[in-house]
Amino acid sequence: MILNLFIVFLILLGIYFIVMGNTASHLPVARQRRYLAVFVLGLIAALVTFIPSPDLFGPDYRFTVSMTQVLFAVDLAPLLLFLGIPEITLLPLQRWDGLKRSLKNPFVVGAASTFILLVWFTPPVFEAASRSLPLWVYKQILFLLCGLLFWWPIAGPLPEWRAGYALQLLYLFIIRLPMTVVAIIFTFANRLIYTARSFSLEICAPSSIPDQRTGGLVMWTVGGLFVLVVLMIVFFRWFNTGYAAEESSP
Amino acid sequence: MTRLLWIRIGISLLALAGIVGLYQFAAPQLQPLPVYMPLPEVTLTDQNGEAFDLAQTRGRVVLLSLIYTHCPDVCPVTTAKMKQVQDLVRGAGLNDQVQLITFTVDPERDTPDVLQKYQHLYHGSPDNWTFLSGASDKIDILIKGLDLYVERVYYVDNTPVPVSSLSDPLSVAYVVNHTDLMFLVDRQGNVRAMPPGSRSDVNETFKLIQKLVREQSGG
Repeated sequence: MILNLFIVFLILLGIYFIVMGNTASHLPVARQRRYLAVFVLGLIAALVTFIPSPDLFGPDYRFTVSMTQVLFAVDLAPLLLFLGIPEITLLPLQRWDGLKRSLKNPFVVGAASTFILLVWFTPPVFEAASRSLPLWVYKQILFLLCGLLFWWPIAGPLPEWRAGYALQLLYLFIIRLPMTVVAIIFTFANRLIYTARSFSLEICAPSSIPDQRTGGLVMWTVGGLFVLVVLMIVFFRWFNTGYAAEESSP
Repeated sequence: MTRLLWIRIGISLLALAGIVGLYQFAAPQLQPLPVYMPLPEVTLTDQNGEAFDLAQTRGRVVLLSLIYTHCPDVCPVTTAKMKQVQDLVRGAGLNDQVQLITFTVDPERDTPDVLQKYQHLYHGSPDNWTFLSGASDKIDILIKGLDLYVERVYYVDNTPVPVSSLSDPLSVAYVVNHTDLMFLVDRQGNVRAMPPGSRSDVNETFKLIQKLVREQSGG
């Protein structure tokens, strides 16, 4: 698995280098390096989510590890990947007005990505993915795509395609509520939400109630903290924009 | 960085990915299989109730799997795959060189009689496929020797409960969580490959068996 991920890493990085060479080689070297470093971090964060959770830290806390991987796939990796792609690289996308309209509306992309995430957290689907490696890998890919979709209105590489700051703040407040509710259910449930029936084939179903609770707690607190930090950044950016506009007005 | 440098590095990375991919594809065929551990020497009881010493398999390539007959998911798949491997072995005329062994990790419930019925259920031929049970301490030697994870999980009202809270654990329904692996053992009794049990690819496992048969017969 690790070798396969390494090959995927090399391929994606190779493509990134070629695209950067063709589009962003005129940028200052320091900026190029910053983009590259952040993109590599994002790629690593994304690929870590494809290591089956029992292989990372053993089977006892596989659900906790899996929920941490969900945060990597849905939050950390997409943000880093977006920050590692210069605007100029995606300029050709600007021809597609329909795509722009959809991605710019945070509630359309937020609802779509949240719906997909929630479907995969329903017990029959989650348990099926926990007992089938290909299905689990497919789930991780979907989570990553959901994360990219979710963060586009906030941090997409094309600033014109992002939502306005007020809308971004409202979006961040509202859209994570369903996932927070799921995390709270994991944290306080007195029985296992997902049934684990076998040892080695279970990739992410909780091994025990403490595993389920820790996983829920990680998702709730770390995920919430992450969104809170982004929310503060967005708020201060908005504040600075308003301040700058006020300064420049006669 | 200049445009040319970006593109050169990009192409180099893609080439490196190709080389690593090629290595991953070719390496298993070019290199001998590693030696993981010796197969523990222990005498158990076969499905006919007769003693079966694992040392008596020396000289044959052995594919070893572990199950328990109350297992709801992994073990039926593993056993079905063992049956498929047995068919491939027979088709290749290797019956006398390859031994299949399945041992239980739940010897209290899986007596030789139960294992014999289980073998019939899967149409496994007893010619070169033996099902083993035995005293718990003997099974434990195999479990420890193969570095397996085996744990009983007791359920009350569909919820796992600690064994310490039960006055009579054997009267309560339980599952046995266990490692999902098979073990491929060479003629000297060394484990040389560990296909991923129920998730293993039958054809890949058979290729490994053929490789070990060839390796040790000088073919």
